[in-house]
Amino acid sequence: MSWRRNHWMGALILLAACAAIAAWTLGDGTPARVAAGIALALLIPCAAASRLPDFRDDDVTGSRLAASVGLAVASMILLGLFLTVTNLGLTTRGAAVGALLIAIGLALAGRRASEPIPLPRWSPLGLALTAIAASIVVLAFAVARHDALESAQRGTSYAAFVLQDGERLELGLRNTTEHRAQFSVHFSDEATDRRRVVSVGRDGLRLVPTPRADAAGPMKIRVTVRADGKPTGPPMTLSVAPFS
Amino acid sequence: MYDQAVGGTEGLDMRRSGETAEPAPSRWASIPLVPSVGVFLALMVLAQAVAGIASRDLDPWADTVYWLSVNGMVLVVAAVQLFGSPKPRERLALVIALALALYSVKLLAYPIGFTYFDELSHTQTAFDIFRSGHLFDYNSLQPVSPYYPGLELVTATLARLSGLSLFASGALIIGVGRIMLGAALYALFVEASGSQRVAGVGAVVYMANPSFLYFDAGFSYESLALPLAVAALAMTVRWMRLPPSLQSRRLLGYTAVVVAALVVTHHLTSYLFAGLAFGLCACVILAWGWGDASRKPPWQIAVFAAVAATAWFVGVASITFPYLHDVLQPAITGVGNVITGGESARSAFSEAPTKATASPFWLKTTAFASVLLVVACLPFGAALAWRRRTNPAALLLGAIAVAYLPIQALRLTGAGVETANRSSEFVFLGIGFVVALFLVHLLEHRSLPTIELGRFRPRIPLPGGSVMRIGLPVAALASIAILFTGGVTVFWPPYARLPGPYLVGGDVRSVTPKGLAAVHWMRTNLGPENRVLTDRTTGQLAGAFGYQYNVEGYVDQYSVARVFVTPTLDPVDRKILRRKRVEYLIVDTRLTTELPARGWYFAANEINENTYKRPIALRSLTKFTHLPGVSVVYDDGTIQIYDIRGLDLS
Repeated sequence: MSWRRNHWMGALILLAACAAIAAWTLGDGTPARVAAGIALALLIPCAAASRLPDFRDDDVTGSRLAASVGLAVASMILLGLFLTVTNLGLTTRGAAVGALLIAIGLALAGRRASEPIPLPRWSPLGLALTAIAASIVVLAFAVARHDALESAQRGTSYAAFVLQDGERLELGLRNTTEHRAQFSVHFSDEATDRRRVVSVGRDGLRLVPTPRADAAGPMKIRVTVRADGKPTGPPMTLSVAPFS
Repeated sequence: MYDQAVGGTEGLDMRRSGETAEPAPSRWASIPLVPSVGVFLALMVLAQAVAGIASRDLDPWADTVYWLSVNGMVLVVAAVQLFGSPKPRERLALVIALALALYSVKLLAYPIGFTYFDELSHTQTAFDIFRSGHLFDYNSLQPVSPYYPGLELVTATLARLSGLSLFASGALIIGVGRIMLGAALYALFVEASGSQRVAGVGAVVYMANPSFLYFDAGFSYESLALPLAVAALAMTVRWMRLPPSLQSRRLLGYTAVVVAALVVTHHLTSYLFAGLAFGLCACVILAWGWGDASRKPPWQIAVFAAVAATAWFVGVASITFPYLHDVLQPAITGVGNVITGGESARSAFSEAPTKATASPFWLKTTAFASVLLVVACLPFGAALAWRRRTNPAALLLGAIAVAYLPIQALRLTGAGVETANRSSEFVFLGIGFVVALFLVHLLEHRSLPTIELGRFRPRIPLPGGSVMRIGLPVAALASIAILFTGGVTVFWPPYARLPGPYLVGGDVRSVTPKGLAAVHWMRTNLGPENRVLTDRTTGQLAGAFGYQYNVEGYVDQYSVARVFVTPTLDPVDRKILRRKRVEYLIVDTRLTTELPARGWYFAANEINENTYKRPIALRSLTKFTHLPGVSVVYDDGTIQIYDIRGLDLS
């Protein structure tokens, strides 16, 4: 199977244009947007650069790959530099148009193959083994990611904090565990000594107004937590300096 | 022309058609080689994931699985390169597969975000570029980082185009850099040796350098600059072979584009590339002489690299000078002091104040053995490189390899260790080449190469017989395992290799969800760019994810860390807080539970660095609680955020 210059050049430019439109218009997080972005920023420039005559004539194994990936990445760096130092800024639109122009430039500079380019031949066994390898790697990352996320979830628990908005003062209570928790709050200062129990649902946040916000002396807030009827976690102590 | 230039008999034919000297295809030839090895590598990657999970649970077998699987990756590819007869493309594919498999070791350890110390600094620069769309926002974690934004630019561009997170985009870019590096290394070694086997083995040996497994896999400017530099070097060597023509001028232009990107990506790598390009010019003159106009030193590329790096340094990034001065000057001064007797030499693995930091005996021995092995191979490999002295690339790589010896002197001082470790990624360009030359020679000729010392040519015979037929291959593989294991051990303490529970002063192991939650809270509720004083890791998190200004350095001769270790807030502490205009303190009381794994809690050169006998006192850390004018605005039971804007600092 062989491809001639016009086919490849046209295909690359068409792909780049489609990818640019997709990157520009599709929302974050959609698989098509991810694919379009990776293609436009990396795959298409690499493929186009590998067709440059100065790279494709290279008979040293690895040289063509290194040079084409190097040129594609370097082009993206310089594109980013151009966008960020000018008034354009690094926006999605600017990046898409810039990457499209790079892809078109490299595709146009590519040349007609003097000989048919042999595409890599894959045996069914080779394909099957490659698919198995890829699946194992995906499994490894899925397992590692799941465990890391679980570990992170276990690592957070409770927090107490004060939020001040002018003279208004609120106490925030956060519960990032999987269980409902009872926060026992003890406010104390020269004039006040109040206790309050606040229930916060799993992975929840409650804001509690403080008894008063303009004391002459500092106010201390001590918070302890119970989950499933048992005390849990170390006590948390906040203090608020008097307003000046 | 190139055939003459290569010198010796191992020439170009082998470059094009594979190794003529290699064994005939075996009965296993029908099984596709690369996919088969790929499955094995994938299983080793899965084993790494399992080791990471076990390490989080403190299972004792995690370390064993880690070392077995990581060495398994290296050894299977090394064995195929050394003893197999794959086609050149297959050799290249295996090199790239190994580079990616080794990259996965770091990714699998921390698969949900950047956590290594340097990564956090560059994360802040990437966030700044992504948010503002422009360059040169101040980065308090690493002020030089915004002035070399190549990695962050391409990451932010990819994130903009794909909608991926900066973490995913950055990880992808570093992975692409790995492919580039693998291909460029292979091409460079083929150019220098004329042998596909040497190229394959050399690329594997290169990956045994101490930086490769973790440091060069991190989201740090050097991780992308290195592949760009090696790719540019391979392109330069290729350009030297071309006769003057339009094609040659175009290749020069493409190389200039890569060098320009390199210049804005990393300071030291761009300077070293310029140095290597000039070195290549000298090698061309040495190898080919001045006379032949068709044999051209790459002056244009060397001069362009030097001018571009200088222009960027002078015009944009003059901050680089004090930064590099602070890193290199103590290392050089320290070596001088050791030589003149003004300072005692540092003993290896001396910075191990805790059990988590201390490497087991077998690993320490392997680390020493890896250095000795390189030193032992060096004369023979250099002699083989010298035989190819009509090839400038071989001369250059041989010269780089010889630099290994003086660089080891930096290990004699505490300040020089990091410089020695980080220079390995460059020095191993030469070491990979000469060690590969040596190993391949040993296996093909079953004799040690002759070292030419003028008329004196000592021959060191090896015993023959079946013992050597089996022993030599085993020894070659064992050498590569020792080089790799020792290289990792030299640079990375045990706690930094695999994930696990929180560790005091343990950089990557000190990054926890509690710290992240605290800095996120700070960003959301207190806003960005508050001046924050805290410990080393929390400071990195506050800068990278909390967008805060991390206060560091000295006031007069006092480290800012003094504020946390004095039993009471004395006038000097108040002066530090006043002069540094500190607004918030973040105190992690977990620091009081252990000695710091790295030897310091707050910053290198803090008071008591590496001399702590007991953990920092809780009373010292929390002395701010009862001071008038101080509010504790956040507490999760271990981390407190103090608002000290109301504190009287006079």
